[in-house]
Amino acid sequence: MTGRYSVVMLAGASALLAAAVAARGGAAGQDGIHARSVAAFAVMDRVLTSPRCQNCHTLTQFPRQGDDRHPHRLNMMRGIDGHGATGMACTTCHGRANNAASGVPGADEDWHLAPLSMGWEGLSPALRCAHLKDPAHNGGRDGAAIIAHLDTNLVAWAWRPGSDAHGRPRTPPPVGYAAFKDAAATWVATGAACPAAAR
Amino acid sequence: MTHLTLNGRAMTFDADPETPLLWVIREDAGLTGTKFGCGIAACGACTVHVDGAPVRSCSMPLAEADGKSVTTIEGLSVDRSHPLQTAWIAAQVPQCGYCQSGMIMAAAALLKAKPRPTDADIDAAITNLCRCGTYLRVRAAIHAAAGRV
Amino acid sequence: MIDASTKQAMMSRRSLLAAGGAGVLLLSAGGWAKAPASRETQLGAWLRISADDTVTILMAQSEMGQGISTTLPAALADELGADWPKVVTEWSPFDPAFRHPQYGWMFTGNSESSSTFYPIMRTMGAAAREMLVAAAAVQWKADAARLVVAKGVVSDPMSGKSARFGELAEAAAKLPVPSAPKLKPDNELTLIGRAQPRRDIPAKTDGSAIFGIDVTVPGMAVAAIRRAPSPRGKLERYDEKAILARRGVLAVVEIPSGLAVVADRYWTAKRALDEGQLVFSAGPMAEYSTARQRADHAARLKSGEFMTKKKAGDAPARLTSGKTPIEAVYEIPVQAHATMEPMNCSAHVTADRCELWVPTQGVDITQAVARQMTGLRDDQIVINRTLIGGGFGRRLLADFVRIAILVAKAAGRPVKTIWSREEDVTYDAFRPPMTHAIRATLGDDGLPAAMAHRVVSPSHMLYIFPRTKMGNPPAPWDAPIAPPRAYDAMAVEGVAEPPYEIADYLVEQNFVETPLTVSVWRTTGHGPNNFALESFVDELAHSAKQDPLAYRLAIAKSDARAVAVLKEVAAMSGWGAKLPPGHGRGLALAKAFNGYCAQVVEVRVADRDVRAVKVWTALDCGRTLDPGIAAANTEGGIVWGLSALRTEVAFENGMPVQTNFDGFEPLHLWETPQIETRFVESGAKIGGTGELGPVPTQAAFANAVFAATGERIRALPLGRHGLRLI
Repeated sequence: MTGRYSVVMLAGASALLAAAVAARGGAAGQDGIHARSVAAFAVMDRVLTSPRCQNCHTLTQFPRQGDDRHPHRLNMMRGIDGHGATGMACTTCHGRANNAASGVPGADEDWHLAPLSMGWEGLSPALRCAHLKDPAHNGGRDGAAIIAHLDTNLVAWAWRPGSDAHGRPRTPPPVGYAAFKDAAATWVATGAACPAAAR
Repeated sequence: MTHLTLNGRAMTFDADPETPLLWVIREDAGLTGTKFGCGIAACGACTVHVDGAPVRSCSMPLAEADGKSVTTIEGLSVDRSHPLQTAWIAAQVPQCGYCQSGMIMAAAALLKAKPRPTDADIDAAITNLCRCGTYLRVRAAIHAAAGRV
Repeated sequence: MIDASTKQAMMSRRSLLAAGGAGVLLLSAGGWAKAPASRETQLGAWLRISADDTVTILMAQSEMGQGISTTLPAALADELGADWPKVVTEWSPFDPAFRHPQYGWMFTGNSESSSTFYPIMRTMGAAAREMLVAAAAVQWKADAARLVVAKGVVSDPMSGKSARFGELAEAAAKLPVPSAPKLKPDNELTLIGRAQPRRDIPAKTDGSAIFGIDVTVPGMAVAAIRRAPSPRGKLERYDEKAILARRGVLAVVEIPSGLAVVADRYWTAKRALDEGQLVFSAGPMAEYSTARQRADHAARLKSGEFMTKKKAGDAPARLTSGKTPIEAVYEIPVQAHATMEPMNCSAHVTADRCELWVPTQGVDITQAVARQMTGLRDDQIVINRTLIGGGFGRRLLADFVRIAILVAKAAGRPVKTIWSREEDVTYDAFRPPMTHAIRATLGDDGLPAAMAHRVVSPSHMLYIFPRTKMGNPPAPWDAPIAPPRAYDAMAVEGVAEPPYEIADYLVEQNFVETPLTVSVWRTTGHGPNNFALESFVDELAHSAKQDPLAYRLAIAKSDARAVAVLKEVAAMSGWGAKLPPGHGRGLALAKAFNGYCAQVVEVRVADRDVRAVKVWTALDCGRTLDPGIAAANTEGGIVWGLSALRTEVAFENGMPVQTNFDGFEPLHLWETPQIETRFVESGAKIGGTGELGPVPTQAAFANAVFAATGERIRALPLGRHGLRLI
């Protein structure tokens, strides 16, 4: 089901990009590429702002959980390094795979928060975009490294987020994984342009 | 087959690898000190140490413990001599006692990582549920054992 | 084997004992007691002394964290003059000798263990002491009056002779039982009145303490159960083949509302249930919802039938003449016990024996259910009690015993049946929802002149009314039965006999018949009723522009014990002190469980977040038998009371919304305030401390929120006011 969804989205994204390019008409070149880039980011941003991503890319001293993004139950804290409070690491409960029995999500990587520098919640799309390509805010990554990051287990988890303790499936981001990666590749390739800041 | 070290002993288990470590500890290994309270990692009664770090064993499949070293409450000491155990007895912490194995294991993990925790450290690390409400004495006993682990 | 006439004789001797004198000691523990090991001598129903001076004291009361397994044996040992380190304890079997003398059945609850059994322990200890002394007196040809007993040794200061208990026990057991043994003066007690290290605590720090869920016996299998998500619904169908296909599954057993799978491991059984694709339909609770329940209660307040539970003067007349009454309605939600140890029971049933291993507060009811289900005689039924991982009233019932016996019978081997947390919460015997409507008018002095208090509530006593008191107890014993209405006082306790003087006072109850399974919950009726009454008293004080402490001192002035705890807590807390911004303090008074408790709670409010900062409690339980244990009970109880401010089990479409600790969230360590407790030793009749501490907590908290914000909390949980306890 995810595959079919991402094909649709891919088609949509491509159509969007094509439309953006077409709208620019003959003024191709820089303007066209810029527009494609901004459009690609717009597709990415739908993922970045989804709860599955934002719940760990917080600007708080605590993680969030759920589609309603409530503060993570049980007083869970970011800790010094984003791996949880001393004595209560995220990995105390979060294992190497989603746990159907307990409803606790997991991935084949130590579960942890993105650093505060990579927090996105509450930012405008323009600022979020700027942070995404700013080494001070993206873990010192260049374009290629940003793309590579999208293949990590924690990021991939968002599209197979498992079910909660009561068997209710978590919602994946609204753009398919493949379409998301495709948009990210396009964005980087087209100069990683950002939308204009809102007035 | 899953191989792991349990309280210092090499052990092999033939239980379904998806079985939560909690139930393997309780039934296959016969160590009932680690308790079942909720099954959803919300209460901490099942807390053990895996490779030195605290883990809620209801939420770790046996397979994930393969090759690792697991310590349960029974492995903390042979004679109740762990500083947390002596502090727990001195402060008369337990009431019904069911949550206390997990509570002590969580406290032991905290003290290993930070020998003299602040109250804020204790707030963040000890999230175990106690329906009898022994929390004030838990906090006092952790402070009493601090620096001695 | 005890014949019927001896049994009858034993029972009446027992009640003689309870009737106020030392009465007559039971010589025998009855036919079902464990026979003493060789070289052990039975000395009455309650103790054995071995040749090596070990004193084994039997415990009638179950240990669920309240420390009773230390305090009652200590009382007997203290009076006896035993060497406390040489005392071991053992749970008594089922036997009429161990029944509550007034209710006539074995149970642990209602904060009554100390008050009921402490005098018995003293008497038993004194009688045994006198028998040992008498034996020594005979041997030494000495005057018993000059012999002294200390640390398990009887000695004669005059001749220098001495003998250990172990040396005297056999001879002592042959002597007549003293009909009126003389108790030591209280000031000669060395254990009672002092904080004793609890005997059960060390094993609770190293994982060796055995709870019901930990029991293993040879050949034992384990069962998991799954029932309709709407309580008492129906199992429509399931895939038995799929269940049996899982390796390790031994049996599939249909149980009321669902299925049990017996297997070699718990997880096998649980996964097999998943694979069984159980399909359920709703039963009697199908239409039940919290919204409907609240509407129903409101309708009953308007036009329901109310039964008078307490009447002084003529409150209705006074309230309709003169000033407009002050009125308020308080709504209290359903609560789950959610003991940390989920329900469980182990059973082994054969043609001629039923053995149970069970964390139970109710031995008599367990025995009765076993009897009814197996048809076996009492002497063929063995109840092995374990430690209890939280009781709070839940384990007074025997519904879980019934299921365990059903499963074990079908499996033909020992089986331990374990409840998942979801099963445990869904099939709880909940604290019922209650609604209170209170009206009062004030006199010229601002104090209440007339008050009418209506309580809308189901009975709390449907499962715990002692069937032994009924001439023809209905079968089965674990089914609900309403006690006679006149006796059914739990839903109005604490308001029917308040510590206040109000000239025209009326308390009425509308008895709700509900499909919800309801029963007692720690604080019983006192807890919810105190929330309503003490919140209302606070509203009256505010209306009269009087300080809440001064107001209560005025209306409680003829109750010296109430005044004493109020003054004590005021002094402890520095009542009236200026507080930082955002802080507020609230006060509440409770007269409950034969004791008194006054409590001050200080909160800090920031937006909709309320934090309990500190709690001060002054408690009078008559005589504090063990100040350490009493303090622990009280501190833990206050946490219980605070938790109840934010927890509830709501129902939608006949199903509980909260079924685990993610939805039903008691207080955590970081949310727990500082607590200061002080005991007032009034010397009055002993009361209980298991439930007294939490009784005033909710009102004190709510009154504190009012002090901080001007906002009244009349409906619980706090979430109904958009408030969060942090």
